[in-house]
Amino acid sequence: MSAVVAGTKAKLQNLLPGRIGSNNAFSDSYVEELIMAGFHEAAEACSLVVGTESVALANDTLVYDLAEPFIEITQVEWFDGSNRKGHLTCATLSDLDKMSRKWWDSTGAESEFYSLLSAPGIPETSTDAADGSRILVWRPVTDATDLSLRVTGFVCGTTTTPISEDVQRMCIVPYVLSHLNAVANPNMAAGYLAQFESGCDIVRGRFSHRYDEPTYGV
Amino acid sequence: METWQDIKDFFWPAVQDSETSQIFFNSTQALAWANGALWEMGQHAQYTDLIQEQNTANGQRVYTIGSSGSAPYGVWRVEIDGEAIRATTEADVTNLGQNWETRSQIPRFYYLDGFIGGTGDLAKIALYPEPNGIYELRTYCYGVPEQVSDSADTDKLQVPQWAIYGVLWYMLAEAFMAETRRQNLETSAYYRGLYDKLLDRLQMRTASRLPKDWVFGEGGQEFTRNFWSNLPDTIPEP
Repeated sequence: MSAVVAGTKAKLQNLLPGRIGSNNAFSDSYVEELIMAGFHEAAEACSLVVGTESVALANDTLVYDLAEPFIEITQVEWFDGSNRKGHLTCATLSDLDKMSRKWWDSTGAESEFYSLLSAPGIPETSTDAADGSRILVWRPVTDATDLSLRVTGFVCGTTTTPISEDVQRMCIVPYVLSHLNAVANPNMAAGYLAQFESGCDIVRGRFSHRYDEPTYGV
Repeated sequence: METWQDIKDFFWPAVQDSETSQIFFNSTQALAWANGALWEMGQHAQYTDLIQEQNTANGQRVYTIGSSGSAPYGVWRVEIDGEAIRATTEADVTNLGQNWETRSQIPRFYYLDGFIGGTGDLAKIALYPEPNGIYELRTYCYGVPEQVSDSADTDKLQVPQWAIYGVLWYMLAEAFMAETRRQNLETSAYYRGLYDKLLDRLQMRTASRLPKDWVFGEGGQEFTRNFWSNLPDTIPEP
């Protein structure tokens, strides 16, 4: 396992000796950006990286910004200080309508449900043309002292995120090679892209089928 | 990659041109392609939710949502004083009888059609019955992603971070499609394929963003439209 950019770039330099770097065919920054593009595609396709974000709750507040570049949110828990108090159940706004006709104005001592406004991973911008990713927490708590949320999900990762060597080799390396050949030889690029897809299928299977036998509730 | 500047730093070398010399392409084209991608991704995947709040006015049926140049793509929920109201059509409202226009009470329905023509501005919503006072109108829309500009090129793009490369693939597909000495239709098709696949993934991710495998039940029979239409404004004490 190695940092995604450093590890993948080393593998590419072995495959393309003397072609990556200053005064070579492909600059370092160009190749590093392609590695991150491949990493994001693989992270989205295979759910490679798990991340969390802590959100401090405020009195009578229903909606909070989510800053972490989530791809998917899998779990939302709430904490009193460092003590985990429980998890929130996801619900649509229509579900909330069925529980309380005027849920927007309702408050309580504990929150039970959450919903998401906008897809995860969208940054807040300077204007209100559209909003970034937010989480709606219901019921808003009247006294939020020491209360916080922990949002868990799959994230994009950064240039130094450690990634398995075989994921780099099966997914990200062919992805970058595909792009490097896109102009000179589009057919070869399509072939490398097929290798990337195949690699993602193998990696995804490893993450989504972790048990050889049925699991049991405890 | 997060900002418009990051995208430009990749785009110009990728088309073997530079932002300063602009031999094959120019900044206007690059901006148009990027904003085209943002519009298309936003409209296709509907990944940004915009909530707008305003007060109704006594006797005013029609309200504008969004602003010029950033009208939302669509409306998916409307609330009056925190309570969801239901969608209807202009035809259904006008078929209620000749007195439909004079009926005035707390709005219980909204409709979006009937605004084509005139200014051509579709970002309007009409309420029925016409409000008879000041109520809080909250509209949930699919918002338009903020457009990029060279004067604010360090602003983050309003796209899920994992999908930001879609903007770049769209730009490259358009650049290699354009009739310049860099034209390469096979390369354009390659980038278009990458963009289309990412767009499909973005749409799927947005639609299934809640890890929800069960639905809340509702006791009793679902209220019908006639029930809602015939409710009096107030129910007096027995």
